[in-house]
Amino acid sequence: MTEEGPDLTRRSLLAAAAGAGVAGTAGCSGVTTPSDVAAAASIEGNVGYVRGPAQIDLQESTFVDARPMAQYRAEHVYGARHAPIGALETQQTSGDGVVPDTEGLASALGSIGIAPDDDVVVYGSSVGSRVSRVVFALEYLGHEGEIAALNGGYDAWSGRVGVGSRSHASVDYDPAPRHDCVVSREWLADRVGRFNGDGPGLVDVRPPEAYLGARRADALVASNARHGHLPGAINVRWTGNVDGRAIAAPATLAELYFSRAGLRQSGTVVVYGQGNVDPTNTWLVLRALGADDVRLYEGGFGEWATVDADRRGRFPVETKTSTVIETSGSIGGGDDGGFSCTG
Amino acid sequence: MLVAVPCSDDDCVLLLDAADGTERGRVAVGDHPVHLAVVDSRVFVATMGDRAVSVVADGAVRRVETGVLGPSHFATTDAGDVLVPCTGGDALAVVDAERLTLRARVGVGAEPHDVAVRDGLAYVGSRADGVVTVVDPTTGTVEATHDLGSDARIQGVEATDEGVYAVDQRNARLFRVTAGSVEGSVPVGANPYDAVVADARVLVAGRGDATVTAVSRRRAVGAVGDGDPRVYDVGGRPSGVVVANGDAWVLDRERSHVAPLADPPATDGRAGAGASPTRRRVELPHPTFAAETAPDDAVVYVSHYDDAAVSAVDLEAGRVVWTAETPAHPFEPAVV
Repeated sequence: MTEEGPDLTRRSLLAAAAGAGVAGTAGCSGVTTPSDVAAAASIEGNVGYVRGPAQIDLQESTFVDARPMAQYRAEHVYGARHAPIGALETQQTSGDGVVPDTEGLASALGSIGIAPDDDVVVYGSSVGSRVSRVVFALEYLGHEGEIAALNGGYDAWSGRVGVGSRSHASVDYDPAPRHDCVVSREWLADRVGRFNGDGPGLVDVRPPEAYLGARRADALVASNARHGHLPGAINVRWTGNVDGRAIAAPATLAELYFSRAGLRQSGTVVVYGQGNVDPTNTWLVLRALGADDVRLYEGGFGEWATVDADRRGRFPVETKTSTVIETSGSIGGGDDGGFSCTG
Repeated sequence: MLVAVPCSDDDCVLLLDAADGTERGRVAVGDHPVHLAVVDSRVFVATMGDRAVSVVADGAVRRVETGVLGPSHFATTDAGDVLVPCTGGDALAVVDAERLTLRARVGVGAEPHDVAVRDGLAYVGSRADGVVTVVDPTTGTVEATHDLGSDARIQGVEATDEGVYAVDQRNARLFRVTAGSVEGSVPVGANPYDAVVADARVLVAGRGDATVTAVSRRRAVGAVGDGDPRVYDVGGRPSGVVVANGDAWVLDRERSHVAPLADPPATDGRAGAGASPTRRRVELPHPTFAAETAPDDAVVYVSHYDDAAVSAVDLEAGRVVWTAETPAHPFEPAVV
């Protein structure tokens, strides 16, 4: 294994890669330097979790790199631990359906030396779903320390860097799971017909084509026995949460979710996707925007769509709706079948 | 006697006096009402924009939550259940008509649109999956799923003694199915929607090619007999067929009349829709979309969907009895 490079910084590496002039251009009109990028990543206002590099206590924080291992090895925040993303997706089956594997998640964090009271900064290539899954796992396990997501991703980092990888002493992570962070298939089935009305908010974060079950669309997942969405769910694709490598403007996101999508900050909101990674991004954003009670459907549409055929009446799927909020991308697959009685 | 008319763009059911068309009331029923069922003087309303059906009873409106979007058509069972496919999803709702509660919800083919009951079993046609799902509504279980082709779009289903006829709109075919099998199919006119039973025949309007196809019920579907199936060139845009006193009449979405479905003379297996000696075309104030026959067969009530009106038509006398204005987009009337 390669040792960390104690004298390397993000800026010096960029300079080496791009030419000696890069590092010396700070302050020049029209040129963006790593310091500028880091400064631009700072978040103003009352927004949770998401922090720019300048807003982080570097002395007290433990960094967790959520990028693929190859990127981590090439370069990372000095001292960062590499997140075992796969292990942080582990699930188990309960009588009510799929739930997070508490022991598996705790073991994964403990394996990289994260203790429950550590202040943790999670970063990735952007503020994407790999980052948010790590944040979710920490919150679900009842993490006691501060949890932050680095805005702007690794490109916003201008501090000391390391290369290669090394092991960190593992610790026993003693979880205190917060079951109110998640909902199960049965919890949802008990509330079918009430979502986004007088019941909880329900947000489908997948592409609109998957949400609508558009025939022959590339976005459809072949392993799903049925296509469409949970009854009453609105569709706000999670990728709209991110603008480049940073979180989208908080005011824009607040307008999107609490005005256009009609979600309530004070009520329960459930988010789901195909699996348990992408929807954590919307889970993170809604919590960052001050929503009181945001929960993840851990099993996702992949679980809902594949219930036994004789139980589908309890777990119905809709393909029609008028509430696709974010519609980036076209509705593929041709004819959507219409929705009328006039034929 | 009242004529109830669901007005889909005004979210109400209009009540008209059957005798003279005088308005007797308007009942707000929910989002996009399209079809009605009358059960023991209760009027069930399929509100297609809701996840519930409305029931007008004793001067009040009650809601029965189905949980799934798009209640579309109704069928009733001898056991007292009202069945309603939820066409925005993939479920058949079974409603206890007495208690007005959801008794069961059964998973069926996606985007179920129409339902028919034969021998106690419900046949539900899917607009998206190309299947007819056979459901036992008493147990809430699926007895069979008949695949009519992956691209089939099943719009209408109609129950008869010999089987259930299912209309594949996309491929312009009429299937006959039973609980155990798909017996066969036959081509019909382009862009069909509903099948209508008229004595010994099943009639399907081809809205895309101005035809009505008549299929004999005596033969297995797909078996070719003398003049069977018979294709009538009716012109215009036939939106459906209504039967009164055993005679079939063609509704037209473009032309302001209702015309009898003429028997031969036929040439090359095709027949014309000219006037017969005993039945004449009846001129109407507007084109027609859907119709309901009065219990005594004396008149039919036709909706002028595009012109916001309903007419009572005496087909034997060849005249319009009355015409009443309605809120926007009146659907199929029902007699209460």
